[in-house]
Amino acid sequence: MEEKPIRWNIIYVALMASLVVMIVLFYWLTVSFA
Amino acid sequence: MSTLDWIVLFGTLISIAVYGIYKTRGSKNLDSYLRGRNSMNWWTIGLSIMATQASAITFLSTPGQAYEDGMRFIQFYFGLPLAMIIISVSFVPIYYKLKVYTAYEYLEQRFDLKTRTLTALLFIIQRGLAAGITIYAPAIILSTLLGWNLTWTNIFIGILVIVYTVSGGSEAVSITQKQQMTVMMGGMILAGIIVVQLLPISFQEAIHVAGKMEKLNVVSFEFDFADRYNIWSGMTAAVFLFLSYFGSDQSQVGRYLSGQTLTQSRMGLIMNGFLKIPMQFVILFIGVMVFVFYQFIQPPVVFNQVQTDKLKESEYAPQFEILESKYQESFESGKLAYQEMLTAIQAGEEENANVIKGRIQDLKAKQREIREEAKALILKNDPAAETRDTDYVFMRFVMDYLPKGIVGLLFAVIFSAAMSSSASELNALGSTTVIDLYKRSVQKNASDHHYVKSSKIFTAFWGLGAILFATYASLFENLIQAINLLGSLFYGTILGVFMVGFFMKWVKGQAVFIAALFSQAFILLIHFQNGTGLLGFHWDIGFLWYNAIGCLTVMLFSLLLQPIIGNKTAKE
Repeated sequence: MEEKPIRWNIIYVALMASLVVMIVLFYWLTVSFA
Repeated sequence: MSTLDWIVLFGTLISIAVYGIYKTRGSKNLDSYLRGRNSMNWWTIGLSIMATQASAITFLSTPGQAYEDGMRFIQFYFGLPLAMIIISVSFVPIYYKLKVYTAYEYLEQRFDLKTRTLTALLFIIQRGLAAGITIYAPAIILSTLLGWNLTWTNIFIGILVIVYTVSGGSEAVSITQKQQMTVMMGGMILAGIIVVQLLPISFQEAIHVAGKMEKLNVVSFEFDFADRYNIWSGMTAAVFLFLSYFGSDQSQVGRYLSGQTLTQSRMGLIMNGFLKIPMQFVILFIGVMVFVFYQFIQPPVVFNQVQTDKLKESEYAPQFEILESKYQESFESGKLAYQEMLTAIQAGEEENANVIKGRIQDLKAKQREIREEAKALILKNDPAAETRDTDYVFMRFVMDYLPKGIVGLLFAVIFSAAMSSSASELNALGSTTVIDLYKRSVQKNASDHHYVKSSKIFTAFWGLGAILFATYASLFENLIQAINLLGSLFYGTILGVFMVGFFMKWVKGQAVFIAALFSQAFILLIHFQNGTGLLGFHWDIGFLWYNAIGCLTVMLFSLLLQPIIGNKTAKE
């Protein structure tokens, strides 16, 4: 089965970016309702 | 539980097992039995990886932990995405290139037979013992909640898993995990929606209550070596733990080696990287919402109902009744205080809200005292009773307040979680025993059919062993703690050996073997002197750090030893 080449670097960056976004959201949740 | 619940529970569990057996029927060669014909697409792999990691305890304990301690536990998973990337870049391509069945097979090709056998043995000892706990830990809670006999609960979980794991091999494990994970995710999301709808206050008010009561403490920037729940431990020490678990533990490696291609396996891992934290967030958040619910609807004094029922029939019943009425009184005052606090928050009177919060905290302290007194009574009545009830919080709530049918589904979630992690363990134990020990060192030149048969026998052997262990586990509580610890003591060293293999190409077998033995001794020294220290040095380190220390010690000593030992490789 032929697979389209995947631009892994973009996926890896997206994964780490999603982590950063989650941490920012979690931080907001932590401080805004305390 | 109602008849509908029983139908949902047994219907779900049995149909998944039967489906797994049916889809994978027919004769198999070793490749299809241990690697599932390399037929898995990325999302099946992703779900399979997640289902392997999500044990029954994940769903039983995590909401209870959020109920008691808030959401800070989630920080432990912050290292997971980075670990997924490292494994996807360095580990998986090599496993694919060498076409290995097990992770340990790689170590012989890279180093020598003794390094492979040592790590395979460490894995077998650790997982072989842990497989019993994977069944026992949830069985003890489920048998209490359902009023079942513990031994029969162990046998029910164990036999169902053994039947499809032995019959269909790795492919059956992946296929059933896909269904089980769907049940788990669906069940928990449904539970989350229902909890929020059952709240006697609005969702926004619930968030304020949770925040004020310090349950939304998701991120902490304070660093402490002994505490694993802060962002720094999560981003550093936990990365090492996840690298060893996903990169060198066969119960996970076996999952992604069943992929159609390298790309599919990598995507499965990345899917896990994207979904794991949100999934844990949902589970913890449900626990927090259950906490808020119980601030307005009175909770039981102790969540383990079997124990409180026993107490009510004992000579301590009058004392317990007094405690119950004290608890109710305190609860009612708390409920009123919460209403006042919410009114203050809505009016923007932050200072006033904080004063009321202080009052609520005092009431909570009082309630904790009452709970402790009740637990002391339980112990007086039955000295062998388990009084820690956090694991019962969520399922007690489910049984008391969720609609018919959904209760059965939530029990199916817990059983599915127990079965899915157990299946991966048994499959990995079977394949490691056959590939790394039996086929490599005992019976080297038998037919393919012979090895398939021996894989089935060993899988069943480990499964039956796990049931047997689970049945007698209550007799050796201390051993269970020791086994849980065993994982963190060995993981770092095993990971170190793999890291040297992947990243320090010039280091050969002899150097890494000695470095591994040294590192293991070093970790044991750190562990047994933890809290006290040695030779004037003092240390107090959380066990999460053992992984990082073990791994780095192997790498450092390999680096130092290689020039001394030279290229005397011990290839056999």
